[in-house]
Amino acid sequence: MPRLLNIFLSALLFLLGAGAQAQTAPVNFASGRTGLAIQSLGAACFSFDVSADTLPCNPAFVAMQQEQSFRANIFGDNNISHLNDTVALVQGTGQQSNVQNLFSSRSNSQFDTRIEAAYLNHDFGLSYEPFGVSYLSSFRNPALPQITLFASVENSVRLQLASFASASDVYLGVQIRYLDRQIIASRFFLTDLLAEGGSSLVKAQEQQYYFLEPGIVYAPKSDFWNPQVTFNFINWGAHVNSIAATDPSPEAHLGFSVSPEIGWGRWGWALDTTWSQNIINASDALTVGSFYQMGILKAFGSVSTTSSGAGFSVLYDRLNLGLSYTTIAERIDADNSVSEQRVFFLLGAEL
Amino acid sequence: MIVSLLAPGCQKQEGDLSKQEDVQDKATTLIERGQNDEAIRLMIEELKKNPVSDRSRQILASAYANRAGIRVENYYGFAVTYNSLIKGPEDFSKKNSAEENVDISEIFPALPDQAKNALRQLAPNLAIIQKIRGRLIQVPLVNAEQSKDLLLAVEVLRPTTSPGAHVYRAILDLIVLRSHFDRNIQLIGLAASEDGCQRNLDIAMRSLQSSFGLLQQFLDDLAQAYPSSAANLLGTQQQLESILNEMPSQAQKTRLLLCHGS
Repeated sequence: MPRLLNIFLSALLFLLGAGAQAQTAPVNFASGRTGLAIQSLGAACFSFDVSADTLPCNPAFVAMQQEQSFRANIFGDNNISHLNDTVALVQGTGQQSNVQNLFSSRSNSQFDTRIEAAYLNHDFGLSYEPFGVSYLSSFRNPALPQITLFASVENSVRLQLASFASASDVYLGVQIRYLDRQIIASRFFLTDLLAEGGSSLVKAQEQQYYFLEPGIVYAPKSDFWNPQVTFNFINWGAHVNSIAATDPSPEAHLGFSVSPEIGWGRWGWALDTTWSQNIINASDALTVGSFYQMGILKAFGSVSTTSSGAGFSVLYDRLNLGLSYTTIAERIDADNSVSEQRVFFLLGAEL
Repeated sequence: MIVSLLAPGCQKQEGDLSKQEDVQDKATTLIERGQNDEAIRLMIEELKKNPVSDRSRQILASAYANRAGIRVENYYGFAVTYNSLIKGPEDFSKKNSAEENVDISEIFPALPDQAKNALRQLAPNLAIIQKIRGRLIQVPLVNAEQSKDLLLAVEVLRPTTSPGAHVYRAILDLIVLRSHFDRNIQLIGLAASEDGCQRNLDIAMRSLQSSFGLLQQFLDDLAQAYPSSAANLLGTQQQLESILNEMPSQAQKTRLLLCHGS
């Protein structure tokens, strides 16, 4: 068995490739995945379902749903003031003032916002995100500012199908994801932007992605520990119009979790191992996540070498409120990363 | 329409950092850490291997500029409103009004009236100097050591062809010009107020000529960076050319009036 596992992992590493990419978009930016669970739990969200967002990270969890639900969320972060300038820039209606607003602080900056609605039952989940905006800029070399800019306005549709094989305690799921976005991915000197024709550096391109993302959860029946072994393969698919810097890299997630019922609620722990060409150091592949659920309150958090986060969500009546604080170091080239503390919020309704 | 699988092997090939980019990133990191000499050494070596890289040249120039303490980041507002770079020289074509408006007493308040009258011969040159000085209030004055580094940066950028590199060179030109023109004023004032009038005036005129050469270089860089304004800038350059041609006779008249009192 260990030998088989080694062969499997070696094949997976070969499939996923290895090594760094120059000026690649941050992982979550490239994949178009974000949300309260991803930002708080990091990769551990593939091993847990904390129901913080519309659909679970791992589609196999859909088969564990007890009830059907309809959810609508607005998700954003503390840099929401960038919204208008980013949209104007990406949609090509931007003026010099938009660029000036975005770059005037000359500091590294990130921003995400989403509107999403979804229906979920124990067979399938369907979500539609009509509007999402992501932005990241980094500044280097004050003597001659070098700007790395990623900005995207997108919409997406996700369909999650799941099934349960009761004889083997295995839950199987697959996510079919369509992502359509206008995206700017550019690295330039500030002086390039100031020169005649410089606006072409911030011209958006159209991209469409079609992803097929399978997931498996093995959940043997247990009275106390509720152990689960999870696997999820994400960002695998086809695209129209490739931009090397923003094409998401396929990732495999293998996780193990326990979530025993304790006196005052349920407390879960998970360890996720990620295989991806974006992983440079072996230690970066590991994420430890935890959640605690008591009544209407859910608290969750995670730690890895590149990010850490903590958040909570409260489902009161039909209102879902969530808040999360994260520190994320997004790598923008081989030697440098953009590190920022961000506060995310989620306002949602659940029927 | 290109449809392809997200094949990691291809991504790896596309996304691998080239060796040149590695060196450029390393030099950028060194500049950020203030290790400018190390960055300069690294980029000079890199340029020996790839002399045509505009990007490498700009990073090397920025290392010299950083060593001189000049960070474009600090003049962001000034640089963004790049109209101020273009509009200044455009106004030079209004030679007559500029010449009439120049106030010699304001530039040299301590000089006797006779000296001020003598310096009116240089009114066209002083008008341009004053105009540029007025527009470059936000730009710092640099000392001789800093100026040397900035001129090295300007020289490194000479073979570049990208419009952005010319914008950078134009900004560095302006910073050097600001200090040059201040020095010109000091030298002319010195010539009028101390012994050795003729010798000092000759030094001042040579310095003025060199500054005007730099101003022409600045206009040339702007023309490269803003091709649609090239015709205007060329007109301004021709205007400067004629002022430069008149300079020896103006210097001669000034010398006679200022140093010999005739």
